[in-house]
Amino acid sequence: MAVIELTGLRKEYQRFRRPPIVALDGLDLSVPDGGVFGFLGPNGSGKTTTIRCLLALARPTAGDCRVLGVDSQTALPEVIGRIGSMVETPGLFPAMTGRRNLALLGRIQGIGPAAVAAVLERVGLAERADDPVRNYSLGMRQRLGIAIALLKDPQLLVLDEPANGLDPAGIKEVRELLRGLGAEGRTVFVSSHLLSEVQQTCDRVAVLARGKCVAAGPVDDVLAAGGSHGLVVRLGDLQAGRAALAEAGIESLLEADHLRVALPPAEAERVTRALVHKGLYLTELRPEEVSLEAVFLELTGEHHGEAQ
Amino acid sequence: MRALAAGELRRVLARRMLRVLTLLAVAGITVAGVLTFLNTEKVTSEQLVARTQAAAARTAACEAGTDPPEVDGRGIDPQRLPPPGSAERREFCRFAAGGVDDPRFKLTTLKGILQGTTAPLVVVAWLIGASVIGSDWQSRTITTVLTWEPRRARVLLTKAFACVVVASAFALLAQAMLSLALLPSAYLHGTTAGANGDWLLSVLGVLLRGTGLVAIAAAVGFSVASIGRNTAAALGIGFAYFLVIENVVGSFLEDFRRWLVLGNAIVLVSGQDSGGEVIGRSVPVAALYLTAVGIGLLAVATMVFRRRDVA
Repeated sequence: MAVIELTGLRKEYQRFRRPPIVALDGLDLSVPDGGVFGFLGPNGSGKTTTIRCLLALARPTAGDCRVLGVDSQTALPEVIGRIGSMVETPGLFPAMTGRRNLALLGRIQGIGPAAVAAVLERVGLAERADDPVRNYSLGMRQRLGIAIALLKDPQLLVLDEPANGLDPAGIKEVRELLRGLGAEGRTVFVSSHLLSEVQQTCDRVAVLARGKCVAAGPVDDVLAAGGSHGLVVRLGDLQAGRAALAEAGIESLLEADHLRVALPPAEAERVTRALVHKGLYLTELRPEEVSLEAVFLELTGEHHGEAQ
Repeated sequence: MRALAAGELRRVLARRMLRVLTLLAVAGITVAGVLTFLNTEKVTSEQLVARTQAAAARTAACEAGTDPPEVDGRGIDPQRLPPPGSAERREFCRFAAGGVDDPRFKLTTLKGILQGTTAPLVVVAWLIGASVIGSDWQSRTITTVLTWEPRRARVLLTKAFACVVVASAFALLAQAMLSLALLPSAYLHGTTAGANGDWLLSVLGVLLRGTGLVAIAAAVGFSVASIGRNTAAALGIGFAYFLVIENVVGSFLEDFRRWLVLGNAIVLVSGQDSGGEVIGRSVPVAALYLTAVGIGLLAVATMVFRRRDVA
């Protein structure tokens, strides 16, 4: 069952005497139950708008938006107790302490002080919990925002750039926290521009560009689908190797210390045969590594090109 | 719902602006109490009668020319005074010999004082209402609350309720403190004459109507700031509307004053039909009119809030 189901979601922001901004342009997305789902996209691609529509903070211009089986625009109150969320930098009451902020929100859903203390401990804010929020750093505010999202012990977590403002240690902690939450069977829907984080944390990913989903699925599948299928070839004499490959009808590209061959890994045998035929021996032959970043740039860059 | 209301009340009470306003109010009330005490004096009725008679004798002697008066402690050359028996002489002597001001603090004047302090309390209530929702928009706490309680009308009306309750309580406490601060002057340096049951009822009426007006001001300030998503917007609009538009319209179109917010507020606080020269407006109708304005603006703010996107 999908915990988030977006169909043809469109959101336009009207402007005075100017054409409207199309933030979401018929977005279709399905987020399955359980695990960590990464929501990737460049700035202005519509990630935060999507999250706002999910949480009924923004009204879609068209399309359907279902969360935990209900229409988020009309029936969100039925399921809000099972959804923890953080939208951008969390809005907190600066005059109150972190603990007080959590306690007052928790009371709305009947959550007591024990749960507040536990969640503060979990995000590493227990020691500063009784300081006013106005004295918190950006990273501490971000942690408190995550604590607010976790306080309901939610089935679905919707987090918008949770690693923003965190130091490397904090980013690592959040990564482990998200993985742990996903492993517990919860669904974590996390938007991020930190591609390496998504690659390390998420089971599935969707890539958003110009308000549309341009790729979605398990991280490995997206990598495989979006990335190139080349081979990395390393040998002693790169120039001679390149000439041997060309003679065999195989195109290659000379890089700093290796050759890039535009053949799928299944055809690696053609490379070894052509080189051995010329008395050249390999020191390394492997499929080219594809990073999510490369796929992301390829997918979103291509889309930018179309738009222009 | 109760938890939401309790939370909103606590948030309003935790605001630094409310603490500053409370400190200012306490300081102002203390100063008012001390100054009133220092500027009043305990005299008996007999002493007052004697002082009045002495003043009358001084005036008569001045008019007759038998006792040249002094002005600012200095004698005046009788040749330079108007001739005895003339109207100018009588006017001069009334001024120079002086009447007798009653130096006592009369408790019955408390009613007028409380009516006078309603105006600044209305401004404070407007400020409380506007700043609470304005800062919620600015700090995006409204977004956080909506991720816990998505029923927008409920959230906004609960916030408005918290503002109204706090502003009303602030006004009542300030008026009560002011009354207490003036009591030493009334009992030690004054008189409680006339402060009977009817007077007490009229004072309670002033308090009740004043608090009602404060509650409406808080709701209006809240609504305007909510629509504009900004405290400054509410303060600017309030300033422009009341000081410019209502003042101008009220000055040039007297018949129209009964349809202005200020005109109705004056009638309500005065407690008199057509009070403050607002012709054709009774106190109950003024109360209903102002309540309708407050509820109407709150309804518009709620409608706008339900439809708009929240960042």
